[in-house]
Amino acid sequence: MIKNLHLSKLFWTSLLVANCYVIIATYAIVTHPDNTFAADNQQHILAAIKLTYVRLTLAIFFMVAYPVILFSSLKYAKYVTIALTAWGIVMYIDDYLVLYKIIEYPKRGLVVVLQSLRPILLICLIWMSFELTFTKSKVN
Amino acid sequence: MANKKVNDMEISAILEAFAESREDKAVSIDQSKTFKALIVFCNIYVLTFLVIYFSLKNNFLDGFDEGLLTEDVFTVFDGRANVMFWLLASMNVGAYFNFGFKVSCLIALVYLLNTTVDNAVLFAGLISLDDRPYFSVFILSRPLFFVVLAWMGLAYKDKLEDD
Repeated sequence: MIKNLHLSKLFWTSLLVANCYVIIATYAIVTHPDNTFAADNQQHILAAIKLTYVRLTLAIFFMVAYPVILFSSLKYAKYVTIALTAWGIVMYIDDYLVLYKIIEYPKRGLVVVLQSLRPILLICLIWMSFELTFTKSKVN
Repeated sequence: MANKKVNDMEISAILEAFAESREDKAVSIDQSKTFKALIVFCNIYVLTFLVIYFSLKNNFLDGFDEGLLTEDVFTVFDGRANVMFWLLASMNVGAYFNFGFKVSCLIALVYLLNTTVDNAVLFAGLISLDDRPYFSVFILSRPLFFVVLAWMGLAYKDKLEDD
């Protein structure tokens, strides 16, 4: 079934990395300790946690739905992947260029690591978008 | 001395070589009236709200609640006004040159959906539909703008339409 799609190993690796990232981020947000809010800037951290809950809910929904779309139609998988990539980039830009005075992520180790690995997630998504866009004839 | 005149075979070869670019140009010109109306609406909508926002920010307009005029809110709206301006510019350039318009449209749609969710989560307590007419018009007309962007992306004809 996977071989029928004729996608590269790099594509599947990117998909795996993206899924792992979402799962670890979910674990980090679900298990974040209560003393996170004892900091001076607790309003900013609370805003970041609220926002992350909403975003991760959507991310988990897409993580579950994506394989179904991918195996059903490569055409729609391409558009969904581009939309998800755009969403990831938009969130990244929003956090660092627009919301930087309103939100602040907790300084917990796992959250710091996830924040620093965020560009890797974006690179994986961008690669998936490019592969689905430019290797379409080969796939057909 | 060599004969510099171009014969019929050479002329047809040249025409054939440029046939594809002529076709691309014809496609970019031949957009539907619906698409043209939508892109004009999109430009007017975004530019109107940018003008209203910068007028409010610079105190050219009255009737704005002081409670909302905080530095944090301005930081967010400034950033988003700038991003929206550049997205609009990229959509117009993409439509004119027949390159990447659908992707620009999709990015703009995703960006607007994301900002709407962010605003709902972060500023839910600040936004009141009764007190702030400019914001009320802006918030209530958002779904219409989503429809316009999606429709515009679907109505646009490009050379990859058959893909």
